[in-house]
Amino acid sequence: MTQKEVDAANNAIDTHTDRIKSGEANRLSRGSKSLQGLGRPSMGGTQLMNIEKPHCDIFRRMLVHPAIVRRLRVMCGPGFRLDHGPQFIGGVKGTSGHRLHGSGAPHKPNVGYHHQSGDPYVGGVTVSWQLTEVIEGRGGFACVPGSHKSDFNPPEGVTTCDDHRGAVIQPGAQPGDVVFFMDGAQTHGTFPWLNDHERRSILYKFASRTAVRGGGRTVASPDIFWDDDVVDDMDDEQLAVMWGPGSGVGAPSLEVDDTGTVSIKNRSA
Amino acid sequence: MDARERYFWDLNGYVVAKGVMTADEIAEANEIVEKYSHTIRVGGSTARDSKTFAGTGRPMLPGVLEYPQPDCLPFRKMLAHAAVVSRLKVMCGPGFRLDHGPMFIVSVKGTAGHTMHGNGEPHRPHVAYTHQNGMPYTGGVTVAWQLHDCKPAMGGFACVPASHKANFRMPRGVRTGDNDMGVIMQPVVEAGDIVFFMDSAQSHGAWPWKLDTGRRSILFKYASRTSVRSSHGLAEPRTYWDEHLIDGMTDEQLAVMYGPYSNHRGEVPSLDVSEDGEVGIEHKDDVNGRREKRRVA
Repeated sequence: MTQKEVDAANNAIDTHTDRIKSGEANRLSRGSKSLQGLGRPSMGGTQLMNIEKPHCDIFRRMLVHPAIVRRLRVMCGPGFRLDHGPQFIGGVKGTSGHRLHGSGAPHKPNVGYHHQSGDPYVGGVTVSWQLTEVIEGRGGFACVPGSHKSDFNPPEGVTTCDDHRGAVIQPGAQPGDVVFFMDGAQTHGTFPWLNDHERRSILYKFASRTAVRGGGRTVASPDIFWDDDVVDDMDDEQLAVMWGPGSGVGAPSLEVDDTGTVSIKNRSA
Repeated sequence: MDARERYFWDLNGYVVAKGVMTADEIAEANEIVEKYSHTIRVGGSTARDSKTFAGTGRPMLPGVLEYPQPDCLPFRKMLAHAAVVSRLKVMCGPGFRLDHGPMFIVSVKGTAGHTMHGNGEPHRPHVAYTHQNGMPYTGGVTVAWQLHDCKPAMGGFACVPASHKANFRMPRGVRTGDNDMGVIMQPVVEAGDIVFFMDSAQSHGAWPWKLDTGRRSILFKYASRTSVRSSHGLAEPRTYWDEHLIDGMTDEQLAVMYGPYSNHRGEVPSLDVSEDGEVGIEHKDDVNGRREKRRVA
């Protein structure tokens, strides 16, 4: 982004600071000593794209910016789509980090990375625009390079960053830069923010055309996803397989006991 | 699904579960088919340019899950049957779902076969087969219930075992069956059996039907929880998102706001960037050219 565009985005955020909510202290550091700190300010949902004009314009421009389209066509394939977001992530001096999550193992097919016959395939790519400077080693997005190809779960010392042995890096970025990362496939999180100036990142969660990440919640339930005639009077087990696609949409899963009876799987089991 | 069956599945890309339906259940389902036979619709030939698969148009019986009670019940019972759940939990992972279908094929003697389609290459991530750390992952599995016997070499479902792991494109002679090098096989199944196969990841199709008794296969098209195979009406941006979110968006912005969708026929626009850095909708000719280039390569 040009400086003028960065200014427009920062101005839009400044005008809507009332929508920024701070989370609970250490909710995101989840047991880590290294990542502890204050609650993280954020603005979730899709709010940035439907704030009033002209403030929404810059965020809509980021959505299909040439720098994004050109890269996502290769990363996700033509026909990539916005799955959810954009999410504003803020930070003030002392804001906690985010415990690292995602990895090549366990394999998550919707966001997994594959390569075949000269083409890469990524189910989910997060595009993170930077509105303020990110200084290497001073907080912000952190990741484990190569972890999207890992065949083993990341050890606790890596996800907490308490004993990562140099596996975790935190790249620097300038205002107007974009970080593309394999959200879900790559082990990533955040280091605590140590700077006097605010952290301001806007995260767009893209997916390949036929993959679903966290989006689609509002249309996934069987009564919305299918015509009434199809699902009317179905029992709970039949309805369980009629949910639309989505990760974390609340769809139950089924199990079969030793007697051959199909039932809804108890979530706490 | 036991270890033997899992081995067969991983190796071949299909597996047959024998004798799942009782004789009474088969008879009941067949009786309902007779009752609704007036609703059968005959489509075009699915043989395309194949000599081997040539024949008459394929008859289909629509809407079996929507029949009034109790006629829909035998088919709804198939949807979450123990024999299906116990296998799809392994094949697709817990939380598998019906993506589309069921598609009920009711071929008669002389009905055309279906040219072979699907393969490990080109890679289609939403239906692909992968394996990691002892677990198989399949984006799409089709479950085909048989209400009539399919006898050896007399027509019905055909596939290229292990083609879900192919790294090279399917030759034309295999696609048409006209010069298949012996790689196409037809699993022999009886009424009451179920065929599970990796639809799209595996090369599959059908031989022309040669028996006096019709073909009766009901195909339920399942997907893993986060994968999408079909074309579904909900993908349109105005349906998929709240209206105020997309109001006033440009065509280019709307192009990335479609819900998940397989886009077989290119109905959903995709974006490209011109040499001078302008983002625009990819022209349909360019999309078709890209597809043709992939097909020929």
